[in-house]
Amino acid sequence: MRDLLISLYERFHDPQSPIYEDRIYVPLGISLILATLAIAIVFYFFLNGFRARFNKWSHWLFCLILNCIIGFLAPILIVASLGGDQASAFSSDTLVLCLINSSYSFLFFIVVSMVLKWGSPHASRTPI
Amino acid sequence: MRLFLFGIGGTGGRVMEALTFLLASGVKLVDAHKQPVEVIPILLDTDKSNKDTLDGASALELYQRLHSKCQSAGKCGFFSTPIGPLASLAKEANQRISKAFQLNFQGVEHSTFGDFIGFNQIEDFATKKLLEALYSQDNLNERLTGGFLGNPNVGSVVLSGFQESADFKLFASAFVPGDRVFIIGSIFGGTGAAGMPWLLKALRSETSNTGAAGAIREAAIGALMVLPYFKLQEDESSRIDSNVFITKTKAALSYYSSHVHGFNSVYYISDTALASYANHESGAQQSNDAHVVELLGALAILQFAGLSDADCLPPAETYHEYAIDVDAQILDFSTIGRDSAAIFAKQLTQLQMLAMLDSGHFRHATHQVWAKVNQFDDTFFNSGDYHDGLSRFLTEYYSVWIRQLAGNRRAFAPFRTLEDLRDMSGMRADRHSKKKPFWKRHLSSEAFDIQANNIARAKGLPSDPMGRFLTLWWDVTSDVYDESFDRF
Repeated sequence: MRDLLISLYERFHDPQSPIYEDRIYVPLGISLILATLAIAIVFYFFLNGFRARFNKWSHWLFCLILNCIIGFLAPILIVASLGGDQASAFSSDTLVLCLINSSYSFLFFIVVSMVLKWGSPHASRTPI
Repeated sequence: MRLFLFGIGGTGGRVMEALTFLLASGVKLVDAHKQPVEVIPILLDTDKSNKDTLDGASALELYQRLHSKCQSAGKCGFFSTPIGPLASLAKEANQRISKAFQLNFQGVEHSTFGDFIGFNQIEDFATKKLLEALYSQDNLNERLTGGFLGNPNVGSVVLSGFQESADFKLFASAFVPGDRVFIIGSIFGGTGAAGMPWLLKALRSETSNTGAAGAIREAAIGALMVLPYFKLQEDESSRIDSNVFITKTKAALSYYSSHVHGFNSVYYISDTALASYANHESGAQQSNDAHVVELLGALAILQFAGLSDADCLPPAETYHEYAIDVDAQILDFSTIGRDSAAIFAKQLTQLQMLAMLDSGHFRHATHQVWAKVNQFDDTFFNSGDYHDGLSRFLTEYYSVWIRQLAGNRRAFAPFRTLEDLRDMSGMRADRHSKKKPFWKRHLSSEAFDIQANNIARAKGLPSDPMGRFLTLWWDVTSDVYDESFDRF
């Protein structure tokens, strides 16, 4: 799992500092997975488990965008929590990682949606 | 069993229309063994442009079209009772037989009464003088296009021509033992008062040998006789005067008691003349608002169909009257009579739910699971079957009818008009919907979507899209009703 996550980020991210590989990629990947699953589960099984009011394409898109925003902010928060001089929360390396993570959040949310939707009582046909 | 329903004149048309809506709502028309009954409506009115009769015929035609999309006869559901025109019984095509539900009088309606009886060709002086004593010059010169204008002495002669028509011969040949006949008409106007005794006489005639005349003579024949329940505004230019409705009714009843025997089951209904309609003799302007008397009169047909043979075959002769529970100016399900409410309150509420959702919800719900699974998308809602079929039936016929019932006097207003379908808990006038626990939705458009999403995934539905739609929404509205209201 660790190696998989590192390889996914290293495919598009070439930072100057080794701290990304040592201490950022793995927690970032785990946070991406957990955040995406959490938002998708809330959408498909809480919002649309007992109600039939939040199952429009626009509601799903809102969740997708929210997930992308979380994915974009996660690297900044993780880097900032580490402190130190090896990486800056607003360096170009971090910002590129933000874009990459946001893109992965986008794709992962779509994949999770396609799987989870079939179990949803009122959103099994959202977004398609 | 088939039930041949003769609706005579405007009142016959309006009662037939009320029956159409009851059957559309899913009220079952069954015989004594709970088997489904096929209805063959026949509208008799020489006033071809009478709007009441035309509306009745149009509603029937739409009903028939929607029924053809539904599940097979006998199953619960909207439009489930089979209704077909007389022409559907013909083995061969015949241009002289009416294709629609309104009978074709084959040119009679364009003649004057004098032409019809050949008055000018009569050479015998005594006969001519007798006819002049029986009929005024106005009677003789009047075109039959506008019906009989409150003159049963004209109608009883003209309607006799029906016996020679292709339609009557088809009816007589298609009739089989076990079939029944029910006649609906008013007895204070012209067409109905003339038609009822004449039709009975034609059916029971010992000399007739057309088709299954023997079976018809021995068949159960019922009748709904509608006594006055409205007035007409006074108009000196009109030949119809509602001040003599009661007098004409008394004369008709007196005549029937002495000379008309042969009905096995007679239903009477009337009301104090509260409503006052515009005085239009005939034609497209004769369009009286729907009245609760017509709706309750239609219940007589259900009751008659469900009688056992012992209770309605000759020589049985029973008489029935109707009484409401509370003498209120505005009736609803709680005051109309518990037994009657038990027959149709749930089903009519379901139809009302369907109409409300059609006008304000379905087209905004194409993203719901129930819509996507069944491909009820914009194309479906704009299709001929839906837009020009079901939606037209609900908006141009049913909704107008229920609104007229509520606006008439005496009124029948079982439902409230709601602007916002997000809260439908007050849709019934007699009671609010049941309170639900916090995790369940109160009665609203969303509650219907929730139920429909659950059902759409679980059950198999018919293959035809409109059949699927009606079956799904019959089940949904039934379940939502049971969760929201107690049964009578």
